[in-house]
Amino acid sequence: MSVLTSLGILIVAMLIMFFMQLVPGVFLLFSHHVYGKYSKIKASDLSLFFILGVELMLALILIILYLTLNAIFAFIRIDERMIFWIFGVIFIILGIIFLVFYYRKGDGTNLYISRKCANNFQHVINSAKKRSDAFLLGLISLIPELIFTLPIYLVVILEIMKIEDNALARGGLIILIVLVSIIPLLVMHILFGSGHNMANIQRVRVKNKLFIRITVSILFLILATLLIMRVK
Amino acid sequence: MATVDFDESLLKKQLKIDAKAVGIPIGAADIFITKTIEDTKKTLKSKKIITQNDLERAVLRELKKYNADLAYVFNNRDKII
Repeated sequence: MSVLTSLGILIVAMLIMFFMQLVPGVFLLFSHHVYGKYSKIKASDLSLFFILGVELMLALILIILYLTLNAIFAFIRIDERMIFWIFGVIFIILGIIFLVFYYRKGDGTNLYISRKCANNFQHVINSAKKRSDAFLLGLISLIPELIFTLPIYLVVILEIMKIEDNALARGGLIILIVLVSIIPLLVMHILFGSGHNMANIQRVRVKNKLFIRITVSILFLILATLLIMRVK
Repeated sequence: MATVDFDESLLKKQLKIDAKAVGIPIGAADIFITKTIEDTKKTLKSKKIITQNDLERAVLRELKKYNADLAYVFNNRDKII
């Protein structure tokens, strides 16, 4: 039961990461810009470096959290039930916040991030020329979304530490989580490569806005329920 | 509402990037972007003060005549993140 609950928590957490919209939004704008400015080969190359940046940042965040939690648990004994209760409550709050505030009102897919931050992203995208620019943009695009994703990463790491003793298997699970999180980017990359454009992809994103809001909110509540169930 | 200077070359440059990304051949894009800008200038000629909204609306109206995807991209670029 415990292992099944842990697997359930990991799967729900991965689904939430899969549906997060900031990184795909930045990637969409970036791909549009580079496909419009450069040759197809160079644009594809730059897009891949963006994805590599996202992968590396996500892997780094997860590894740092893993090492930090490992060090904390080595020195301090923390009541596990209390941690799960706290995260359960956090996820209920995040579910409500996601439903109400994740998308701004209007006909596009404007997100909760400040307009200054969005404009800065636009500015960096417009000035990206080299692989290093694309890579750095990938690295930073994860950061504004940490308000939603950091608690998920923490729970994922806690569960990984519970499920598996083997460091190799833990590493494998982290790689799996990173790969699942970048699936939307890979799909967009393939779509751009096969001749689709920003207008087609954005129309789909706008059409699915309500679906994503409701689905992710429900997933947050399921995650909270699984964590609270584990306490009993 | 902010008034704007109509920077033709900047608008043309951005529209060319958008047109290429959307998959419009360069030659065709050049022709109708020039036409779009000319017609936009004609539309806005009578106005003493041009706001950002006036400019965007006028360009959008012209672009819609030529390519729906390009018009959509122009209208939605700042509505993605």
